[in-house]
Amino acid sequence: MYNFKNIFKPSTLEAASKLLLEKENAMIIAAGTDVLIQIREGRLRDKNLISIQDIPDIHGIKVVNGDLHIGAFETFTNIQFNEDVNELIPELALSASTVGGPQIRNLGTIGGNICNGITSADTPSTLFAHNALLEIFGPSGIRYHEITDFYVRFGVVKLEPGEIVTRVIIKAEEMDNYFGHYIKYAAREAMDIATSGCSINVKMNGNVVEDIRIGFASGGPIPMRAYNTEKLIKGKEFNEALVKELGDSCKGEVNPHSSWDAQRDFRLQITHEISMRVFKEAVRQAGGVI
Amino acid sequence: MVEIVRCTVNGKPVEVAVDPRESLTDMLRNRLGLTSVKKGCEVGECGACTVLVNGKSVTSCIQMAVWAEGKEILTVEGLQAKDGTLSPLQQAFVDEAAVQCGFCTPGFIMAGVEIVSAGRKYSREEIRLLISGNICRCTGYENIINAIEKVVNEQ
Repeated sequence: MYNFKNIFKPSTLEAASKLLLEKENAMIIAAGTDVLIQIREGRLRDKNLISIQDIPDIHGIKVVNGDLHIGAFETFTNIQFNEDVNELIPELALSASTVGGPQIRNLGTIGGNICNGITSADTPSTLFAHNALLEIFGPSGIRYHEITDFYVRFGVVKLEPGEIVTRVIIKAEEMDNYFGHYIKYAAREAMDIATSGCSINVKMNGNVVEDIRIGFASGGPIPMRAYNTEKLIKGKEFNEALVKELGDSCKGEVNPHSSWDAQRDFRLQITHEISMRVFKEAVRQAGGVI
Repeated sequence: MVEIVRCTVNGKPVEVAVDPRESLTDMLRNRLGLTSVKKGCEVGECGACTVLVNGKSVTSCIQMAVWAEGKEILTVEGLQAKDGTLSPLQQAFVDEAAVQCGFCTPGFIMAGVEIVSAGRKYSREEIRLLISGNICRCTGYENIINAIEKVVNEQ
């Protein structure tokens, strides 16, 4: 038996938002793969859980005028195998495929992966690197928030009382002509959390890196972009020296933590290595000469 | 607190009165007597409680019973034929001696049912990744992979 007060299952966004505001100590529960574990460990107590899975608005993956719309309740499995995702932004499908194990991927949602505010989450780094927008429903209607500005600190995101993330939107211009890759480094090949994760996409002009966006998981207390490194690399001719320059710069730009699973120095070393590998693969996919 | 959940379990429509705070594992074990669904880690890591919900394998310990409303649930009890004949995957587990203490077996079989139902072939390495959500503390993985591989390759 889980230790919470009650669970409500609204079927509309309006009802869910109202419950979030009215019920004492209310919080959203999506698939529960994180929230229920926190309840089991006693870190969350006496909650009124607002279960959102019966709300149709947060389901579905579709392409609207070239933009990719992913319902917040779409599971990692659905994202991993969705044709549109694989065609438009394959490294998002790849990052979804690295989460936990099959059972967790069948349950866990992209909205939960973002809203629990965890730096090691697998999908946000790729969403950062494509300037994804979050569609948010709240008491004052619908608003849009850039994911790159959505995180406050560990476990805290910019959601106001009564607000629910309904959709993740990646604009056509953030995907067209960009080619990307993602590498998750963890001690095990499955059922593990990223020691470090890196997602890079590039737009090439011949062998010149016309544009580059770099996202990191576990690069700091929240998911992050390496904007300084992007500026450094942009406009330069691709070669082995540039790969090294990118790796060195990324290592200097991240600020990882030490924890039970990895020390800071180890994460820095991994950041250096995987950022170079991801960069090379992204350039290779974009048709650059390696 | 009691809530009524209506769902289909192993092909039969059921109506179950549950406490809204209980997990799907609790509902299946305690209310419906389906004790093939094991309670292991209870945090979604060991896979012993794996069942299929609408054809997808999930760890039922981190699912609420009330979320089963309207869903189709399959456990090991629902695999064998009416005359008691084992399903091909169950038989393969017997033939390959893929069972040691047996505690993890129902979870592995349900994870295997999802793999087999995809209707395509997998390499051993792929099968290893696809059963990464299940743990066998007797470490009898080789025979478990043999059993799943056998059915995957025969179909």
